[in-house]
Amino acid sequence: MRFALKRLLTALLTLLLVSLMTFAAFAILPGDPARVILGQEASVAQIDALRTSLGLDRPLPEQYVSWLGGFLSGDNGESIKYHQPINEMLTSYIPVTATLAALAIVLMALIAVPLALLAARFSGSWIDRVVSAFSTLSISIPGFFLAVLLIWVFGLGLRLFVAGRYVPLSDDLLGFLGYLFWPALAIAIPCAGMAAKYLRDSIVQQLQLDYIKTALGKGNTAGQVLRRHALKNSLIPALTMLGMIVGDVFAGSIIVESVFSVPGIGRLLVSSISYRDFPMVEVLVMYIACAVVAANTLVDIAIKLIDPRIRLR
Amino acid sequence: MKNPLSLPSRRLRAAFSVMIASLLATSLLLAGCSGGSGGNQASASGSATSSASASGNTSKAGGGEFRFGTNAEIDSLDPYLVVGGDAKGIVLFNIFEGLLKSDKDGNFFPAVAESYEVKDAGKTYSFKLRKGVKFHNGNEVTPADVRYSFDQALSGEFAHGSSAAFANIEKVDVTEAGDITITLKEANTEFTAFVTNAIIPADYTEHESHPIGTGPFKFESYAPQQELVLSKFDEYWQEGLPHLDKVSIINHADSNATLLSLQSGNIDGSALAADSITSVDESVYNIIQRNSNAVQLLALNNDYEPLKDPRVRQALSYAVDKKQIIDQAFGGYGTPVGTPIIPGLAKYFNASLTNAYPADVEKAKQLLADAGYADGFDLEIAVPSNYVVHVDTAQVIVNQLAAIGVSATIKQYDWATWLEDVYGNRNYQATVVSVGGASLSPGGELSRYRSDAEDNFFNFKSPAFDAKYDEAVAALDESKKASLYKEAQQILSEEAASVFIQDIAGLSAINNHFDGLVSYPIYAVLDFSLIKKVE
Repeated sequence: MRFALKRLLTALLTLLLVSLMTFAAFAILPGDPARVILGQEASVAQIDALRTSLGLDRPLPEQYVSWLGGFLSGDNGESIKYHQPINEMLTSYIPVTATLAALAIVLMALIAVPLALLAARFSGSWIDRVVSAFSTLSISIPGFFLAVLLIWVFGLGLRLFVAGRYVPLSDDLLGFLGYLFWPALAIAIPCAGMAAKYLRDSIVQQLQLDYIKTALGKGNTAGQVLRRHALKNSLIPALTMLGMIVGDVFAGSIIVESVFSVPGIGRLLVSSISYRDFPMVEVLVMYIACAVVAANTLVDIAIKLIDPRIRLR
Repeated sequence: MKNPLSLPSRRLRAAFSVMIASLLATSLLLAGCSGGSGGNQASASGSATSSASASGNTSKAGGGEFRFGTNAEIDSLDPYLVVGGDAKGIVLFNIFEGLLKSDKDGNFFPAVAESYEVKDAGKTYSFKLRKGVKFHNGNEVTPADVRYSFDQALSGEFAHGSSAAFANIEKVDVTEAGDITITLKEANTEFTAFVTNAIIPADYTEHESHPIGTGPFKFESYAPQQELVLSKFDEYWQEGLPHLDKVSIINHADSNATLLSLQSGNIDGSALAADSITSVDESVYNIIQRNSNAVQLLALNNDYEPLKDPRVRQALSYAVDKKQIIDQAFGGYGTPVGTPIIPGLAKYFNASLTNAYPADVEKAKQLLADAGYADGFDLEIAVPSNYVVHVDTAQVIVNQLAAIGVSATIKQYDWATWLEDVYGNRNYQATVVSVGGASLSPGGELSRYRSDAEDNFFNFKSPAFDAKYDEAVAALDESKKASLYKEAQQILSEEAASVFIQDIAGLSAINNHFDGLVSYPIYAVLDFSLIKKVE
């Protein structure tokens, strides 16, 4: 219990730091939102008037405190770009990326776990080498290219889906999931490559240990040993990695959402940064950071539960 | 290192095959769903059939749906808040209308007004409100609505294309009978070009979420970064227009995503980069070339030491080969120019300046030597990196300048930084960008070259130009005005205020089941009302 509290405190501190750093990045970054909004036609007087109405003429600490106060009280204000309340907008964006991320993680597990088991089971054989080659290849393909490749092969070539025809969740649940399957696959493949590599190494390491020989000697079959003994012990490094992969999934969604024309928060983040839509960017970064920090905190707690020997401070 | 589990395990193999099977099943199931919901795409044999069936679904009434893809985002649906050039071209021309409206040749015709008259040599403009024009909410346009619309336009809180011209308005009188009189502080015979500001219902402030205008299409729905859906306004005042029942403007993150969407048949038309033409199926899409109605230039900061000397600027003008730029970076599509006025403004465009500086390396070198830069100088070209065409152009220019000994380098800026540093603070040496095209007024295009203009980011100063410009704006006789404007352009060319390159070709692909995508001499205007289905 005390451990969980400590973890929670660290998580909150991390989030505070993230918000400060995002804010600082925007303060340093050149580019004036008022100028972007008003475009080339605007006069200096108009730009100044808009800066005042956006509150950008206030001192930086004051801007930060007022933003933080709003964020904590759940009022994120209005998007500079869309002139709409941010909370209202995000109710349609967050479910999209959350679904995409969940689908990607499921697909990742469905690809990585069997491959890792197979490679570990036949470690050193040609199967192991093929799996290892797949891992290396999938990690090294740029996310953008993989996304375009999937569209070419399955969208334009095999016509399994229509590139760009995103189906909103409100229209049709199955169509929504069906379209998101492809971008999720594009996110999952590189993550799966990494996960398979980690898990395989971890299992192989466990299989070298004495307790496996003992377990085998007691008359257990190979499958029983793998499932009851080796897999559980191999899960600890794999779980640690799962926490990191959540971060990768969000990073992947930023590129993949753009290529697949999916209206999620990754794509919104990119366009908001180039528009200097500061309130929107800060909120999005905080939400993504929350998701990643929460996943890692949960993983730490889960590891502690699985293996009480590990002392995390 | 021998694997201790040398005996194959039946259970393991069974578990493994279950996993593989479930992975396959999931993918097939999901793929099946997406195919089914996308309009039977899975069974379609080619993009022609698929897109035809997609757009044919709603064609019961004959008009059909037109799906247009764009990577420009609509920043606002409020006609007095929208700023983005592409967004204006979509919103202001299809949902809204002003007292006057431009046709495809740049002539103005009365829209919400029935007739208009220019009096007192361009000091007074009077309009008569057209009877029976309706808003999308069914209400008839009243003089009070016109009054309210002009109050919005004059409030000056936000910038729009007409703000500079509207600052010249002394008063707007609207009578109960529907007579509108605009009195200007100073006469300006080009003012008709600005009376296109949207007429909106009085005291209606919900345009951001549900715009209401008098245009040919009414608003249906908008989801940012997804689509804007418009539908036919049945009570539109122009008989027989629009042809389409429904227009969907589909948003993509970038031109690559737009191209993929076009290739898959998801959309019926979109803008197209010159290098993508070969990627589009010619048997399905017609390629239409229009002007983009903005002049691409190598803007020179006349305050940068070497560029202070007009001979150096002339040397750069001789060194930059427009034809080579158009061939290498634009696949041969583009209209070379030698002035900031777009060719679309044919009456004022000084065509004789296009070849004022033919590519001539020797002459350029000579001019540089005369100015004391025989060994060349360093030039940093700032380019907004979001405009691939400008980055490509800058790369060609770097090579062309190397030939005359000027060592140019490219520095890429993101758009927001470019706007602030380069455009706003004039903290640059040279930059490649497109300028102009917001209105159909030559004065609007040239005003930024005045010595005291706030948006003169060239730091160009020429008393001769200022005098000629003022004379042209004040001129009342139309042909006299045109010739004065041409002389003013002549001065810009002789002084080589900047290197004027071209009006970039706006290429579009449109499914050959549709026709009527016409070009307007205003930047990015998309008039969906003229598009119709053909068989």
